[in-house]
Amino acid sequence: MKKILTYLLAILGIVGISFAEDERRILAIGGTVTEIIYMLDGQEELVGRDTTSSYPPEAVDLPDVGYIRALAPEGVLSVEPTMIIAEASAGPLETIETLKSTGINYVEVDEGFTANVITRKIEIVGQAIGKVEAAEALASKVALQIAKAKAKANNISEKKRVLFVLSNNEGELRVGGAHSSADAIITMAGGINVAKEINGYKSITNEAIITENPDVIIMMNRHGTDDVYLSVLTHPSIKLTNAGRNQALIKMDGLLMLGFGPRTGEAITQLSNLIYPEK
Amino acid sequence: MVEATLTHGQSLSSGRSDRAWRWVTILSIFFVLVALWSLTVGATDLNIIRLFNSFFGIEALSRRDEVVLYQIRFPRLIMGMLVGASLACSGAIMQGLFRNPLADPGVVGVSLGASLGAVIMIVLGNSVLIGVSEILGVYDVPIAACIGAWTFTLILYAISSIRGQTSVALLLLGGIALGAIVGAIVGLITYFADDNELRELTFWNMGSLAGVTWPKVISSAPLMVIVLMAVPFLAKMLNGFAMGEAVANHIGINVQNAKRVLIVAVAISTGAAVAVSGGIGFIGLVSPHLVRVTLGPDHRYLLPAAGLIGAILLIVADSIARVIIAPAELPLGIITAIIGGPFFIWMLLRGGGTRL
Repeated sequence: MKKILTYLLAILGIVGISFAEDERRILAIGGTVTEIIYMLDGQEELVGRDTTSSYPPEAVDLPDVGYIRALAPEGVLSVEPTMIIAEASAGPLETIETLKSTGINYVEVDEGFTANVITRKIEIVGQAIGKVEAAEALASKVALQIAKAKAKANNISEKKRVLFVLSNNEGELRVGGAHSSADAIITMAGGINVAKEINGYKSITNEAIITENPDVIIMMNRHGTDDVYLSVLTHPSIKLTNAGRNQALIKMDGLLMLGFGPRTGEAITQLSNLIYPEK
Repeated sequence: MVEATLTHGQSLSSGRSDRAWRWVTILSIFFVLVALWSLTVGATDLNIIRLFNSFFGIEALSRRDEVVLYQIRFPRLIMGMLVGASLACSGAIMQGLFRNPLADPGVVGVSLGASLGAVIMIVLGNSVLIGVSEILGVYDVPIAACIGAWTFTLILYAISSIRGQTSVALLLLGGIALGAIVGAIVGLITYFADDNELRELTFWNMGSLAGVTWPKVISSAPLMVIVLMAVPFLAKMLNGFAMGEAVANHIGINVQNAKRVLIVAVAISTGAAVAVSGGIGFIGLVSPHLVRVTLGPDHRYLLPAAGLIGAILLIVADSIARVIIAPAELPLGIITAIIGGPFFIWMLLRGGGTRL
């Protein structure tokens, strides 16, 4: 009897150990990766995140291993991940190479501003955390949401002219030009990006602001005071535009609007409703 | 009477040298302790007992801890040591050569040239220079920074040398003029940088040892080690300079040759140091002063002691950088400036500014 019990305990012990070894510890690098993992209900296995992972709010409680482009290898290893799921821009390269050399399962997801890239992101994350079916369901749901939102947003006769302002540095405005994430979301939401002449996030001259005459200004939500929005609306050139005259300034969460994660459909609808409140 | 004075003089100088060597020994011991301690500091829990156990084969480390210790902390320690010592020695050399307490390794244009090289590679490495960047891989920015540093020093040296004589004043002023031009070019390139490149640039300018790997150590260490080994030789030259160029000439030092050797030595070692670590301030300026206020200006002790202090400061700063907001990391340059600035002010006030 005693012997059998010992055997049983031993077997239980082995099973226990192998379970312990199988325990997956996932580190999410990149705001949208974290979002997707939460949406696929995989957060039980999450042990860490990067600084850009700010949604959902409970994700903020996870240890932060640093900014996505300036990761230090030891900080990353200290949360003892067995799997790292990272956006393609994670770096620096030396850190990524060191991490890969430890035998940690390193999964890289693409970044881009189209529905296709988003669904692929979801599928890759789903495969990595073993939730393929849930991922497929989420991917098709997200794709449908985006398509619907885009169609509805662009079904408009008179499109508004939109300017995305990233920052106001002593009167010098940095805006979202062509090929930027802001440009992509503005177009999807049925607006016309007036800063198309500029490539990426750059500063714009005052004269261009006045000639382009935006109807609406978009900015990212910020903590703290409203001074920055006020400074943009009272900017000498913005004041002369339609947006300035009508005090038309939209504030939206940065990760939601520019992250191109699973909430992009929601972002398009929300932004479109804010640009066209009369609709 | 004459005899008495002589004996007295000798005993005084030998007493001073004894004291100096004692200090160097104490610093060396302290340096070893700090180095060992830094191996136990980091986001990962790897304490001194387990460290010793693994050194003596009592306890095997897990794969992760092995990587942390041998692939991350060890190369970082070696690099921190060399970069700290190189910056400090170069600072001492520059202060000696210019007979100016405010000189630092940046005076010969190394930092400016390095940042120009780094900016060019970071911003243009994705477009115009994509071929170069692909061949060099992770070494693209360090190599560009190193080439920038050396080229810039060479240009500055050429500008300040007229008819085979290098004018120290021209070197300083030329550095300021060239600095303005380089600043404009850096600004122009920065203007065309996108958001990610700007981030990378900012991080580079703040300095860090987070990306140090063994291959990086192996490729840059020889350049720093050679110059550090030449320190006793360089110290003699600098002692000659302490009394002015004319005196140095009279006591048989080839002044022009010495200037060339000293400038080249600084360019080689700081160029390599800045290339791997980015912009790290204050070590080169503060370390030599720390020694000067306790040991006096004799370069035979000043150089090695400043090197040791530089290494200690950098290792401590790097250890702080990697745990203060763990598991994330602060850039090293921020820590050295936060520690270095106030410390420098305290030192100036304490000495009343007279002992510089």
